[in-house]
Order: sequence, then C-alpha cells, then structure tokens
Amino acid sequence: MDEPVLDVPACVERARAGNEDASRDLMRHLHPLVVKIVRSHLPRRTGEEDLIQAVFVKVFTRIEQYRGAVPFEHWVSRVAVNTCLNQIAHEKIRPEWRMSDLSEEEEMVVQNLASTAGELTPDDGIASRELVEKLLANLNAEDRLVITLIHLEQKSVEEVRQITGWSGALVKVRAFRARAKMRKHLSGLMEEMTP
Amino acid sequence: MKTDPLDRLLRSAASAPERELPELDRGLENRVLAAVRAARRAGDPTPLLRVLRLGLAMAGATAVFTVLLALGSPSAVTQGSIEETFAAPEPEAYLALQ
Repeated sequence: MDEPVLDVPACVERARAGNEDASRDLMRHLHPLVVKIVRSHLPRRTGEEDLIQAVFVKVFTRIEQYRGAVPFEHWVSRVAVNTCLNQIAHEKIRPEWRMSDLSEEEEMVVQNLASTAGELTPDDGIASRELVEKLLANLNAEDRLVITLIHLEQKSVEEVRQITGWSGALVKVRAFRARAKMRKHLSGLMEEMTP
Repeated sequence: MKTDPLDRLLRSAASAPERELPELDRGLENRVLAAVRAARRAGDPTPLLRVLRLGLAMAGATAVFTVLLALGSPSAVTQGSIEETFAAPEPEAYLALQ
C-alpha cells in the first residue's frame, strides 16, 4: 500500500508550534534527502549518524527562520550542506594519498586510466567512487562540494547555485580550480604507477 | 567523449550504484527531539531568573511609589519654614549687630 503524502507546510507549522509528532513525521520524510547529502559530503572523522543528527537538530532549532520562500526540502538541503561544510572546515589535515594507500581495486582503476584511453567498466564503479573520495579528501570543503554536486550527483550549475547560494560564475570557477587540483593529484598517482 | 583520465574517473564514479539508504531509527528521532527540547529550554529564561526579574521590577515600583508619596503628601518641612531658614538677615539689623 502507498504511504500517504505528507502535507509538508502544515507539518512545518505544527513542528514550529512545538508538536513533536509533526517533527517526527518531517524527520521520516526528510531522512533520505539528509542521508544522501551527508554521505556526499561526509568529513573523514565524523560518523554518518552523528552528522545526520546534527543536521536535524539544526533544522528543528532554526525552523522559525524558515520563511517559506522556497520548498522546505530546499531549505533543509542548504542547512545540511552548510553543516557538512562547517564540519569539513574543522579538518585541518588533508592527507596526501600515495599509491600504497590505495586498495587493490583502486590501484587497478589508476592503472586502467594510465594505460588506456577508453571508458572504465561498470565493475570499476565502486572502486572509482572510492578513489574519487580519496582525491576529494585533499580538497577544501567548497571544492569538495562543487565536484560532488556537479560530477557525482550530476547537478546543473543552476541547481548548485540554488543549493549553495553562490553565483553561477563562482560555481564554475570553483569547479574549474577543484578539477585542476584533482587532476594534478591523479597525475601524481598515475606517474607512480608508470616506472 | 572526453578522454581526460579525471573525466573518465568521475564518469565511472557517478555510475556507481547507490548504497542502500538506512531506515530512520527511533533512537535517532528521540535524540534529535531531546536535543531540540534542551536547546529551546536554554533559550528560555530559567524560573530562578524569572523570579529575580520580578523581584527587581517590584523593588523598582516600590521605590518610585515611595518617592511620589513623599512629594505629594504635606510634610514637616513647610514652604514657610524653608523660606525662614534660607532668608538673608536685614542689612540694617546686620549692621546694628556689628
């Protein structure tokens, strides 16, 4: 049986008035969205559930600030992204990954990239994702965010602009610079591979 | 199709299957609501602070009321006695004293 559709604006009003049942309904409704954002921007030293909890606490303690100009889900996305960015900004140390730090599957992906010009196989997807996460760990919070949104979540510049609040030009510049940094690091790994 | 290794890597990463989403467990819900309740309580003045504020307001009101009462009621010091107290002596009487 299909679940009834949640009346989000009415639920937000009741949650604002301190109704905890409405807060629970909203949490269940927003949970998949928050999990996706947290997973995409998870700082290395923070647990997934801890960050999800921090996002929801922020959402419900600041719910009075929601003016209703954008859908509630968009507002929650922005809160979630900012929470992750703040957490990542606290991570001062950015590891420089070496070839020896990579798993066997990740090494294979680097080898394929270095030796062929063709597309990677679907089987390489998970290892590729893990390798990208390692490369992203070298970037600052904003660079990491823009690459994740544009390249991994395939969002348009306009969508990224809405999520982050940056201008379109800033999104493009950040994406360009972040890609340059990632390319440099990936080249380093590929050079290690070729004697 | 771009053959840049980074582009190929990013395309491959984007095609990776999504990890399954976990169910929202009741413990997380309860922890969030408890934290929100605590944050709201911290935003409210505590009962002790409220009593203190009420006490201060009452003390202030009493002080104002006392001053108004003192100004409005006839007192032992009348206008006449004030004039007598501060009146300068007649110049002739003063010279006679010399």
